[in-house]
Amino acid sequence: MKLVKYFVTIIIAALIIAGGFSFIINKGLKRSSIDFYGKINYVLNEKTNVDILLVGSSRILTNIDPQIIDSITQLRSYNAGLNAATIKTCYNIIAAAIKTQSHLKYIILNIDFNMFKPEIDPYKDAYYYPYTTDNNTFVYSNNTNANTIHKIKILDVSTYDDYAKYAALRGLISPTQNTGDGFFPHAEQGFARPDSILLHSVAENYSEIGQLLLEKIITLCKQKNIELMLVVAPYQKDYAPVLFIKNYNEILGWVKAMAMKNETHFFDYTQLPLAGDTSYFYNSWHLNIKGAMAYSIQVGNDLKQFITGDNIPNSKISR
Amino acid sequence: MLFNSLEFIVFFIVVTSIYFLLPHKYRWFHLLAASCYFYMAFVPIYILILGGTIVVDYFAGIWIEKAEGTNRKLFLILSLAANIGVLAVFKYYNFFIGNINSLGLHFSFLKILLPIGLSFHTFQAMSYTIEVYRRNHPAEKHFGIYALYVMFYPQLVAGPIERPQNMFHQFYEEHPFNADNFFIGFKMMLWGMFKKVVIADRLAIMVNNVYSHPQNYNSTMLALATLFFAVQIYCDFSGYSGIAIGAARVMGFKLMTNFNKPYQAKSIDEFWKRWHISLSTWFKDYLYISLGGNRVSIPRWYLNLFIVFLISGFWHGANWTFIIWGALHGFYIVFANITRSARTRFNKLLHIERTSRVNHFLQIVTTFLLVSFAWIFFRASSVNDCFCIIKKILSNNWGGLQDETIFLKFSYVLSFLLILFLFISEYRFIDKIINAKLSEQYKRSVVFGVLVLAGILVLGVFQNLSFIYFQF
Repeated sequence: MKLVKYFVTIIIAALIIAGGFSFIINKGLKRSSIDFYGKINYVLNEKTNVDILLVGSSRILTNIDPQIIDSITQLRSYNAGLNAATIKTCYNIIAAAIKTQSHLKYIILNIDFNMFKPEIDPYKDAYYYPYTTDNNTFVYSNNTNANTIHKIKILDVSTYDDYAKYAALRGLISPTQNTGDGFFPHAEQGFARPDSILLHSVAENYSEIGQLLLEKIITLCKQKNIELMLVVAPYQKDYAPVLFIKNYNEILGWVKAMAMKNETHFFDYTQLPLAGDTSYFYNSWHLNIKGAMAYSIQVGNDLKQFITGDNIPNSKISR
Repeated sequence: MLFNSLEFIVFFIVVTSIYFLLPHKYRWFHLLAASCYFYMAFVPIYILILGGTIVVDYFAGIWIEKAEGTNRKLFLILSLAANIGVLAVFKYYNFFIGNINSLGLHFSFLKILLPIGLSFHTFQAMSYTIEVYRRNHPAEKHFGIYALYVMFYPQLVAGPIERPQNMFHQFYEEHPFNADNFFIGFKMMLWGMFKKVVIADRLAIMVNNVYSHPQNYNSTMLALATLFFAVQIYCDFSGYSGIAIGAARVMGFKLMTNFNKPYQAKSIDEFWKRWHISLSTWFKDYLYISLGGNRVSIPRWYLNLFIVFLISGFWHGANWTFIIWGALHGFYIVFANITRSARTRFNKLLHIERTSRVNHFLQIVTTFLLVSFAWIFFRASSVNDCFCIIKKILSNNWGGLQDETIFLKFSYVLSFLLILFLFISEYRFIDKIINAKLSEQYKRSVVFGVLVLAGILVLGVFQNLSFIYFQF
């Protein structure tokens, strides 16, 4: 009897403690302003009233300054770029924004040749807590959905990693910290070495699910009358993936074909003059703050022309 | 099936419940069937290899017992050859071929996976035939019980490597449900799980990152990763052993202790009396003593010690890194013995009281640092990586933590706090609480149970990371 009492006591007490922590951590995550949580909290907040959403990996996060876009277009933009985000995270950010942002009119999605492998997305399904209770909005990894992740709802905490716990703590301690416009530029400094991966002539993998998700983004935007612009940010010319990734043109080719088929705008900025000048770059993949300023002006002006219906140079757009 | 998985929890509850519901005469069969299922959850076909060695050793045991003179030795050699042969093919063949091929030859590699826990159950099987040969234990006539001795699921894949004297009689004894055993066994499992999923798997994230690209990190990160690995491997392996011993204890079986606070050892010699005790005593009983132990000339004694550690390293893995790791420990032990009298004279000369607390503390720290240094060879992927790590640590390239994100620093702080908690609790109170019966330390056991279970749920890293020693 004493043994039964022991088990009942410790299990109930441990569940209460873990449940309490789950509750507190979920609260913290909802108030968090850092990284993924900050971005998704921002786009899920109906009061933020975003007109232009910038989505993609670090090549959006560090390359486009929303303030410049705002000053040129006179609209409100937000940089929702996330380091190493694949098409899966991009899809989820876009889906969340479309669901809540009533003013949203334009989405700029940066295309990376290596983004079509959702299975390597660093923003694991567990990271999406407490937002993934909506199976109709978000996409998940193979064989999972919001219900399977939330097996034991009260114990969400048992699926969080240290990152989530840290983010929750930050959310609890400094909830009012503003995420600003989401832009995190690289410092202006000399051009860093080329990324070693680019020195190898390798083929980049991509999956059907990755392609499908891009198509889903295009369809979703069309359904909601949101103009989607697919862009390819500049790479430093001498180290551009096109020189080192065997199937770079193939991947960009089908993205372009998909854009044409769906009458979606495609801007290829890899041939901009700044691509040949290392003083604009932090490293071969990312611009520094000087480069980001120049690139943001370019994107802002093209967007402005597009919004006002002016002609856009053919070299930059294919429809 | 990993101990740190939901499947194992369900498996354990079902197997234990049925075990206590069955009459004693059917229990061996139930445990054997459960053990087969447990083993087949990894790579089912490998049960045939295990079955093959069980059949060989079962008959070898009976023949050794009946035979006299040279035949007796012959049957033992046949049994040992069968076991070592399986190890040689599955574990060492590709290593030897790789080394031979490096001389310019072109032998083909075997495309096979290492059967899980192969080194453990072959050593357990060998201990049986050796003990029968030495007439320390009778040959087991019941094939099912013998098979269960090799396959008993709690210790099948990573030990403790048991001896026939400790196990066979337990399979024949009836184990009625005993609340104290259940209580103690459960606490052992809980603490083992805590060490694995809360501490070891958390530390593994940083250690894996750093050790996979050591050339990218500064001295601080490499030294920290090495110290973290020392704690990780302890928590990983002692956590596994705790769960194994606890799972057996719940059913009334008492397995041998495998870890006894090894990082409180004051010398390398003492470390090996506290670390992986079932393996170190195996080598002592069956290799060191067979080589003559210390009843030989002093140079031969040193050689015996060195050989034992060298082979111990090779037992861990077919890689030069493990061999160097074993050789390094052999060197530590031999060096300590060679310098023993000189160190004693030195201490006397300086009036250093060897039993003082300060001296003990310094001895513990020195031993821990020497063991941690050796872990570099154990953990690194290649000998080149080992020397890269050592060179970078010694290069005095100290700096801050190399992380772009502050959250990792949060993770490090959490890790340090958990390591502190681990050492304080193991030093001060954990044994008392775990080994307390229901009538003793009940309130403390409740607090322990609540905190550890809640700790697992709140702080656990549930990525189903395998136990490090499963690869051996």
